[in-house]
Amino acid sequence: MTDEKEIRKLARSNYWQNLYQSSKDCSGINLFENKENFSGLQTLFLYWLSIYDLLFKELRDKEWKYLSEKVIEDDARVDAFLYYRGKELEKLIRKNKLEQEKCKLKSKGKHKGNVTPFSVDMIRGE
Amino acid sequence: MKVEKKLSNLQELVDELNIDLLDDSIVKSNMLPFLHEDKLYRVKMPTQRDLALAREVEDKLKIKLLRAEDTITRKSLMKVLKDKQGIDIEVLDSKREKYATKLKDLYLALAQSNDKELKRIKKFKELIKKVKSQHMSISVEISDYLSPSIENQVETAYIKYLTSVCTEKNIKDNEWELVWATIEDFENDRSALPNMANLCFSRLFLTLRS
Repeated sequence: MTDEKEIRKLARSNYWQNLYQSSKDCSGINLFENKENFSGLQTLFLYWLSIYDLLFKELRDKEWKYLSEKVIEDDARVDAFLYYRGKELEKLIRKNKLEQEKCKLKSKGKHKGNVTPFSVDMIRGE
Repeated sequence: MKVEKKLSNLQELVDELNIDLLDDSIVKSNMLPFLHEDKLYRVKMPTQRDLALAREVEDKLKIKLLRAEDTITRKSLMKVLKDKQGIDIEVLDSKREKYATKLKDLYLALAQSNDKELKRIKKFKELIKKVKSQHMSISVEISDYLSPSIENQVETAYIKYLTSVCTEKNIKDNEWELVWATIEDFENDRSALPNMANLCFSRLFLTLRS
């Protein structure tokens, strides 16, 4: 088993997920024997702990049609899901931006059409 | 309770235990123990001082290699490979990029599969495995071609130096001592230990530098 495969298996285990949750809630709980100078393996492990924590949360909240327990147990399917999730979030961000721009344009248009005697005076004054 | 149900519950419990009883020694501490000829060794994470000294070693070597006549930078090596051997690293790189794009398309297809679509999942997983291996083999090819470059030699020297100052031998119980007193001792060691320590250190350190 490669290091990454082993680390991912550990990171999604109940034991480490519970410990990770507890360490987030209570600062007195240490995940490792060392408190600083984390190794590359530990940094990678922390990364996967946070990823699986997020996936379990999104699974509980039923945020995604294609996310299931079977997906989380399968490295290749998790990699695929994370890529798909990123793409979907990008799409959502782009859509929101577009809508915001449309709203801005609409409000500008409304403002232009709504000419008051005061604004006419202001334009004349220029 | 039916036997099948009991067995299924038992299996679930065993699976859970298996997961929870995994060996977590590779992440518990920032050290990695290993055995060599029945003796216990360990590699540990470098201190800030070790890292600073390793950078000094790296800089000195870089200057020395840049001044030497029989050395070559990565960029020049790519040109020599193209002109004299017809090996175009940029073409290999774009091939690698194509595999990466293909992999992304496969990821999207696999991600949008339901748990019940077993055949589809199997098909895409196999394709992903194949493309990943093609991607890896081109990466290794490129890395092999560029290994004589100054940049590569300097990187190797950096890791070697850190390995030499971060490998310890177990004396008794919890007593450890450095294996090599100097980098010269490390380089003069003809046993398989330096290579083994190098591998373990690279494993522990991973890509922290980048």
